[in-house]
Amino acid sequence: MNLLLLTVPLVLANAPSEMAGTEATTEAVDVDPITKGPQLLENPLNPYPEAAKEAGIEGTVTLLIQLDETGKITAVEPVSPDQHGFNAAATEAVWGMSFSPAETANGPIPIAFELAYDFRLPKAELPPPPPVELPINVSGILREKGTRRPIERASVTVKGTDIQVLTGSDGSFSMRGVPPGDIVLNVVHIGHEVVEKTFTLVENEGVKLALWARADTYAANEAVARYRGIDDEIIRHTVEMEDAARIPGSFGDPVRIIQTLPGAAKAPFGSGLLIIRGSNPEDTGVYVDGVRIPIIYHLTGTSSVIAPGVIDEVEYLPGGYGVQYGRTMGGTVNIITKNDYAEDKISWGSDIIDSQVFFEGRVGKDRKGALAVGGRRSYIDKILPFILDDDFQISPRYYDYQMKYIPTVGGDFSFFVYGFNDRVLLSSPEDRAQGSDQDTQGDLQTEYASHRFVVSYKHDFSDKFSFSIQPSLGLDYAGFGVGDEISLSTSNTLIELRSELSYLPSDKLEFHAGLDLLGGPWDFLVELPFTIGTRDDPLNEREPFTLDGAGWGWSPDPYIKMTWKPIDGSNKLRITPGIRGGLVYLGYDGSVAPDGNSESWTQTSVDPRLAIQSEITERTSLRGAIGIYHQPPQPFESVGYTSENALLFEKSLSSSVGISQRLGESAMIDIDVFQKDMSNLIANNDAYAGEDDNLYTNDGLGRAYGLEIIAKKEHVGNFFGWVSYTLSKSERRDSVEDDWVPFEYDQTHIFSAQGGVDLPFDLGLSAQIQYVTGKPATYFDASTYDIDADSFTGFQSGTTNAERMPDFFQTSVRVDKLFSFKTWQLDTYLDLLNVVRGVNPEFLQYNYDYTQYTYVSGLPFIPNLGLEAKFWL
Amino acid sequence: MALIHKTSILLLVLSSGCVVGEPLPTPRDLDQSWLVNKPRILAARSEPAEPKPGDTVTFEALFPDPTGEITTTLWVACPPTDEPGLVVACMPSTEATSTAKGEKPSNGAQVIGIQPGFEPTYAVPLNILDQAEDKNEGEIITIQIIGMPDVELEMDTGAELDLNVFKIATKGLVVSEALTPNNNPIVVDFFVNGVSVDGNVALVEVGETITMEAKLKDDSVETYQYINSDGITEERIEEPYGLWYTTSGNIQGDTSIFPNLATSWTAPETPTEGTWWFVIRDRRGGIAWWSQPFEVQ
Repeated sequence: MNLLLLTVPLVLANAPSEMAGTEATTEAVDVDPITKGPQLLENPLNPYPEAAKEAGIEGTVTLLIQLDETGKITAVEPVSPDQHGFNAAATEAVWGMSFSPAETANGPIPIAFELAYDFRLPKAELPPPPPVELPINVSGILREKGTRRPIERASVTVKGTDIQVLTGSDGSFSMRGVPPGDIVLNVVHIGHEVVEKTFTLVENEGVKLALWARADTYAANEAVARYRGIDDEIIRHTVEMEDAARIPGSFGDPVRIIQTLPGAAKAPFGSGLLIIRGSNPEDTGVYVDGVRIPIIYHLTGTSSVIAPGVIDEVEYLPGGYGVQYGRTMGGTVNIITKNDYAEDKISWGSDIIDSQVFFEGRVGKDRKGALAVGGRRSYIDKILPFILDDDFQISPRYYDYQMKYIPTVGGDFSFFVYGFNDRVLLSSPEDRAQGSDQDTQGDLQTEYASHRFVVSYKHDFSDKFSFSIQPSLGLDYAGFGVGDEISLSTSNTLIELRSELSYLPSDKLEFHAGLDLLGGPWDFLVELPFTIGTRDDPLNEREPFTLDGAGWGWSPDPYIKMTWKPIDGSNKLRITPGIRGGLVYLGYDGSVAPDGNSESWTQTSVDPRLAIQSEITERTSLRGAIGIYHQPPQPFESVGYTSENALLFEKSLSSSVGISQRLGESAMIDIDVFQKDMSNLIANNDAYAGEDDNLYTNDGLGRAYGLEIIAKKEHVGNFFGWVSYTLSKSERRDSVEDDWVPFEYDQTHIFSAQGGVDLPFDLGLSAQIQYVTGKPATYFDASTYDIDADSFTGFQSGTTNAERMPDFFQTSVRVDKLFSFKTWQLDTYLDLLNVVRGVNPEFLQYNYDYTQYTYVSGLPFIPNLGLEAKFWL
Repeated sequence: MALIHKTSILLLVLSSGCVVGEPLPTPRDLDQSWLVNKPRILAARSEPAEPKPGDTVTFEALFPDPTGEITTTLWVACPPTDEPGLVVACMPSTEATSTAKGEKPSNGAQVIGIQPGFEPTYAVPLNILDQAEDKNEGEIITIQIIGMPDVELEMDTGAELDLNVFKIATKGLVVSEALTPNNNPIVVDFFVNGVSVDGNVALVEVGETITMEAKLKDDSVETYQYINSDGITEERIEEPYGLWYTTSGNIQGDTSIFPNLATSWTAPETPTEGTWWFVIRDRRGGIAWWSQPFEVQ
């Protein structure tokens, strides 16, 4: 069951005198806001244990009550120890009550809450009050082990007496008149282990205690399983942070879990890219809080470029997304960072790949602000030389950093600075020639760097009007070099602005108008010891070659969208039409410009999109979307041309329909089918006619279609997991005259199953199985030898991509163990990646004359021991 | 003991993982280019290296055949062309002959030699540079060398042809009126562990690692004039590089860049006889080689 603990006080209508003072416990968790708490509609039973009544004894019983989406009571459990028969009487009374369900903006939800049921006698029956109030002689604070969170509304009882109190919101408690002698305190709170504290109380002296209770399951405390249903986006898989980080192979990074969701194909090893719904890797946009970043994963492929500590959730939109996202034809991934860091803590994590340090907490006057600062540095480049037994050494190295400051939590502003730097060095022994080319001797180095500074402002002028604006400044750099002779570098200063004005005139209508601006100056420099055309011709004399370019690019894309909920403003029918305008201006100068003159070109596009969703029952919803998506050419395909021969935007007409069905209390299944027609795709110009012609054409065509299924068991109870399957086909052709051939990343079957179970002693066990159809391939049949160049050229007689490499298969296992101490926790895990695996080819590797080949396999078996220590301040 | 045994197996599995299916050879398990264990065209050279129109050119190939399966070597001269892929399609026949890539046969292809019996010789046409943009830079005639086994060709029947039974190589012949035409380099000596072999078979112990070094004739590395794209005449010096081959053993680093024309070789663990080859290229079309027999004792 999907249970929520309420923040909303429970109003007990028509409460009898015996229930005076009864109230609901409150505790905030990260869920959709509760718009209406459960209401007590009927309370027909007023039992009072006869013996207690005759003895004049009063009492309070704390109960945990669970309601389903209809308000029906599904469970009642006394939390406090039984005394005088009050527990049974209170339980009987609650089962006789009836409640209205709790509601969020998306409708009724299941809920759990604590209820303190008071037994009070009429005044006439009360014994006379004691003449003098006894002094407080036992007091203290109850906190959770490790997290140091105060535990509220725990029952604290002195064994052998009637003395019982509940802890306050700060975990404190105090007791009066505890008799001197050996005392046993019994502390009970749902979700925590029972604590017994023994001490000796001396007459006329007081005792102040610090009590610590261990949480039953820390993971369950940190995240409540949830599934986000209808939203603006047509398909929106929300990844739970803690669950995602426990999946083997995630290296504790929840962003990596995208690879297990439907629609996401297996990406090329070490590319840091995503392939979604049969699109090219560069067709998928990756964002952090709506600000685009160049790659999502570090080049090692083991972790995302944003540290997990700042992330609130990962939004994965394989298709059908709204007009606020553009310039892409594939999917969209948006990493959403937290807007509060309420716990003051420092964490340090380390595994075989990298180490990271992270601080988060409240800051400023009255602790109104929040701050998160973190950094991560890899050291796998220092370890690999001891592992790899090869002449050539590959040394990947990366670091990333993040700092987010929120001056006032819940306020209008936030500031976020983050960035990363990746470098891969391929080197060989200094005394050995690296091939025969005199100009390509030396180490090969690739480097990516990206930095962003983002300011966010959001203000609600009223219930109907709100406004947001998010300017950001960024710097992207990419460089490639071989030895001292060859270097290519490009840098972009990125100015981005996202802004949206929202107007909600009624429950049925919403209007949003926004601007998604991206632009800024760019430049690049290519320095080679040879002209490109002569590189492969050994008989052609070489001359040094320099190509540079610089310019400005601007893309201010406006959009408007509307949401119409015609049936009582409910989600029974939700229609979201929108339209986005695309505009790209590119101006450039330098030697890359035609004839050395400054040049510019401008292109526009219009993207209408429509999404329709319907919650036909509380458990079943349908959805459909259709839209046009335009994508500008890649930078290297754009510059150097005049308006007359510049490339057009690539275009995709995408559609999908799907159904979501909840199964039982904590499971769901999503099924979608999708189809994409792609046109104006950029293809090589086979009829290239020299300098005034374009190396590329817009003649390429593509099509992709498929079925996606995900079944998910939420983390309620001890088990969580999900199974996803994608059946798809993606094809391309360079022009209408050509035959369709499989897309180079086409993967017919993509299956992934993963799950975890919570075990006693804070142990966790999780596993993952993945199966993917092998990538298309075209094999060489024969070769010829160029004696002057000492190189073989292979020949392919078959149809392009008509064959396939062997399938991909891997199974991984992970064990987690949490050690809790009074003020800190140590989370340890052993990730056994690829325990059982197939040959898992990533690349074809031929011998020198193409008469033999093998495959370069992906990651081998990797036992990864990780540690994460968290210190609460 | 049984428990210890099972635990050991479990630990073994967990410590190495388990691969399902046939294990793959690693890239190192594939045939290395320096190992000559089948017919290989390792090099070919013309004399002169850079002829003028009207010159008569002779050719020679370094074509070891340890299996003895190649019976005929066909030499074909293909005229200059800008058409991509035509080198493969350069066949000395007319429209009736289909080609490996399906292109039409080029015009002007000429058989210039069939070995054994007809040594390759080519008379450079006098008008070869008439259409050349720069007679100093010249034109390139592609020489195609095809080693053929003793098989019956059924190309006209449309039957599938296994191109791998042929050994096909191409060599560019630069024809120009350059002021300083290229010459082939000359290898004058071969050293094992710093000692000249002096025309003898090199003797090596089993499993021994030796250094091999080749020496070029002093004037092999030529200085020549080059008119760059700005019309300025540059004086350039050749930057030769060498490749090492062997019939057995193990070469560590098969490429040497002048002036360091040395490498190391480890003998096999069993006595054998074989050959080392060193092929030097001057990057302008000039090629030379040295064949050195060895005996592992």
